[in-house]
Amino acid sequence: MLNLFIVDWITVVVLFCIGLYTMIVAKNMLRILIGFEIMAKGVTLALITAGSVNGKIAFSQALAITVIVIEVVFIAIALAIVMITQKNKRSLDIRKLTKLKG
Amino acid sequence: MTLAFIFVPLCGAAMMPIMRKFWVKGSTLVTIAVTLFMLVESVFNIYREVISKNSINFNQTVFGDKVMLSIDGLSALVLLVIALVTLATILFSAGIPIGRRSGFNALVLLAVTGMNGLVMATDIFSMYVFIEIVSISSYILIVYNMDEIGTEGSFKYMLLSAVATFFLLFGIATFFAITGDVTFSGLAAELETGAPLTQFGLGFIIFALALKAGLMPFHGWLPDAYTAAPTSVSILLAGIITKVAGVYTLMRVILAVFGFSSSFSNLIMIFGALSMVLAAFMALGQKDFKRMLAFSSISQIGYILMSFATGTTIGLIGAVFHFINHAVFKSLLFLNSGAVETATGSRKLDELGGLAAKMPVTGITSVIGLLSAAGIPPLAGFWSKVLIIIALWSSGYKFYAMLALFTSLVTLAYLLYLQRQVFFGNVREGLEDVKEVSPLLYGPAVLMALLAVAGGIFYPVIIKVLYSLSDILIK
Amino acid sequence: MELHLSILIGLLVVPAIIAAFAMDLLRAAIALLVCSLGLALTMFNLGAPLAGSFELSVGAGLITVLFVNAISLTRLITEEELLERTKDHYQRFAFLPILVLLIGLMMFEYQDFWASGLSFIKYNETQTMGEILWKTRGLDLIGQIIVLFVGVYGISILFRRGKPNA
Repeated sequence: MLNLFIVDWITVVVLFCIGLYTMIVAKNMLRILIGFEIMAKGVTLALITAGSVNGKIAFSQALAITVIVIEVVFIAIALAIVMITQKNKRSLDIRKLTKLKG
Repeated sequence: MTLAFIFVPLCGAAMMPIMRKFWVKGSTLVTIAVTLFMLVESVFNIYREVISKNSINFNQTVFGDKVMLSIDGLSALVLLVIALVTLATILFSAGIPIGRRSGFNALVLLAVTGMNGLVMATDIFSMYVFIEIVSISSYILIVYNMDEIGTEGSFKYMLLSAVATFFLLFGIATFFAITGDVTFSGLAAELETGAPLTQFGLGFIIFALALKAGLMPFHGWLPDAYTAAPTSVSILLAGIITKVAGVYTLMRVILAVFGFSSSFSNLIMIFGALSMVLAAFMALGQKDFKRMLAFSSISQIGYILMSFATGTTIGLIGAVFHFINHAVFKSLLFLNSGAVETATGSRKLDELGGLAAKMPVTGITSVIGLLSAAGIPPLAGFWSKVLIIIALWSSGYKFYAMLALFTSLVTLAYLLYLQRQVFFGNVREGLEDVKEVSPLLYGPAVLMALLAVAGGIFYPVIIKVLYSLSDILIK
Repeated sequence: MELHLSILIGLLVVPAIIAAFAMDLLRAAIALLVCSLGLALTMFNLGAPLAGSFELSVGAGLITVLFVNAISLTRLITEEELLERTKDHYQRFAFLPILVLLIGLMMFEYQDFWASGLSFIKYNETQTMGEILWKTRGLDLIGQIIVLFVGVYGISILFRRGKPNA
């Protein structure tokens, strides 16, 4: 059981790093949201793994379901904002958001 | 009692679609009624708490066999501040035209629901859920005007806030794996503070909460979000949302679970000092009214967290008093900025000038806000800054105390510069026919100014109330 | 164990890398779908069937539909912009393997640090997940309802017709 935990936890860290790196480096707004999704999957896996090694798997399922619901609402709002940006500026390039400076 | 704080604003928000069909102006009235109810309720809470002296766990809601919501001293004070700032925001927004007003009121009420739940939560995962409620409401509120600047500020805020959320969840998962519990009391009982894995999880959680609070060097989203938000949203955002979602949660997590272990107190002290000094200097060079106030907010949050990180009773009292004062005077300054922008249509400091003769009420309240922010007696800001400096000096951080004193002077400098640029001096061309704004817009500013003055005059009462509420917090 | 490992690597990590690197956003969305599938299977394997099915229906269904919707509504790249993007797109990800190597080395160095806290207490659970979600974590359920409220209001406000601001 311990071995399984270490493998899962390393996967969590790898997913987290890939997602974080994509969010920092990406230029298109939609790709940033894809990086956000990858990180979300990593964190959900972390919660379930923590529950599986603890014996409290039902508790961690309740936590994971809450996290999934909140992610969905966040993505919905984020995509709405992306579409508003598209309507205003005709481009999804995040390097072009330079009106606020200083 | 505790459930009323969550369900009354929620029902108010649920009534908004009905209001929209029948009577649009009624939505504002319903919101004001809900906010007044919360204000009265929270004052009553504090009164009963101070009178009864039975401060341990005096107000709880129990589901099944676990305690879910509890109000203790710190929560009661923050509930009062939330109700106050929300009242000011709603009164202000009633005076300016907003597209789809019922939706605006509904979102503000939902944000208030989230904040109320946040201050009453007893475990770290519920705290995360309510942080998300508040954050998502504020993303939508910042984009409310749907212009370019709004989407830019909101998107930057969303990115950094999402990173903070994931780091917080990762910390929660680590602690859940070790202890199997997420409540504050369970974590406090089972975590051994010295263990390296605990420090690791704690580091993640503190990084996440410091990012939400706007401490330097994690402050990147704050000036953009404050400047990009519409006028009435900036008041809510700066006055209470950043502080509750960042500063209050940090205080609660450290007080309830971890205690003041030396390595992390030093870390927060350093970040606080960095925020305080750097943000004050960066505020000197700003040309936009709201951006300068945003950097001033970062600086004041540095003060609050530095005082909190000392770990003494005086430090805690100073931090909480400055929390309340900052909510009052920062809302006041943003209200004035909103009034100026409504009357003249501009926020740039080089385009404004000499407005004191045209807008007398705004000018006077702005002077009061400025004096309270800089810490000039006899206003309330002076007493909280004195407490902070005494707390820093007496716990041995003498260098930081002198830094705090020096930064007060810098604060005075840039706020005086702001005042002189906008209100004193000669009236610029194009501004001759500027009139004072309607009473709905300067009414909340007058209320906040009166509170700042009253806090300065009645400070012994306030300090005594804070002292009696703080016994339960420092174990 | 081998099945679990192969699901993890093949259906979770590799699609995540593809989703991060892919030039075309539609391919990235499909890779995200496969990633959701992998996560759901992993959760089934670890003994969390309810969360697994939830992730399957919400993550692999709802979120992918939303993404594909948004991608197709915002598609307007011309030919030369596409060419210019290709040049620096892969360059930007050059740092990632180095970063992964660094983190791997760091974790290998401090092996006893990580292993020191790893003595887990085993709990025996007496309640089913439904009871836990509704009774013990009832406040989270109220929180979920409030978040859904916020989402619905937000979408209806952000997509309103007519003049955005007076």
